[in-house]
Amino acid sequence: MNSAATTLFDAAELKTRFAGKAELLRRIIKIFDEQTPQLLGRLRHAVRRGDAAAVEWTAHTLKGSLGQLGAHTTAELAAQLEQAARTSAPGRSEVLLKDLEAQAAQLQRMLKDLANSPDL
Amino acid sequence: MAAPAKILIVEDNPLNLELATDLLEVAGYAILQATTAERGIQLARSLLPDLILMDTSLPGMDGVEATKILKSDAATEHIPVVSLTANAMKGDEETARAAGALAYVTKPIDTRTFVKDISRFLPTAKSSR
Repeated sequence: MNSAATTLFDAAELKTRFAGKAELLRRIIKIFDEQTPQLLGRLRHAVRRGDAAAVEWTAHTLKGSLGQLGAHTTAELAAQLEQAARTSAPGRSEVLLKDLEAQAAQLQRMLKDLANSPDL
Repeated sequence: MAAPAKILIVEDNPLNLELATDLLEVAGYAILQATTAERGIQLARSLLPDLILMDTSLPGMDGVEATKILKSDAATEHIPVVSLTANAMKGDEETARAAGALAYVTKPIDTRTFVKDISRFLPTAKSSR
């Protein structure tokens, strides 16, 4: 794992928070893996058509999931997108969404690896 | 043996709903689920849970408004409501309490303390299986 990836998500922290609950963590990761592409698709669509309420709401949901999985850096990006929608900053939303998509894709891979790891 | 305490969880994010449900079910509680405030109010009125865990941010009617409605209804006013919120901001606790919530639990959910945090608000005669 490179240093950029390490800052996205702290596997040790997550394992500690789910100590003794590996199966539950696997299920939560599976839900994240299923919902993230849907939420990002909705966000992309909402940003394109300038639907600030939909951007705000969807970013809020994604922020909640990211926070629950200890992905604090990416959760902060989602929070910024939520805020940008609230303050009508469409140009900023485009930039933030691009970063969010990139980080989320990386996170999905990392969390999948964790879920498949025998020592979880 | 007494029936397990019934807890209604009103939460729109499937990830948080699954997490809260699993933790409380494993602890022996019977769980009812709603993903909107409107459905939560409907279930509270018809099934009279022993406790309601209410997300404050919900699509459409929010959890604060739903709590106010439940607390102004003679059929549901006695049911303790615990607010669940991601907004760890000053003032949120007051807002939830002003609406009638008994307490306030912040997200992200801590799997190590969540059950204890919630179960202490159940009426004492009710417990887990």
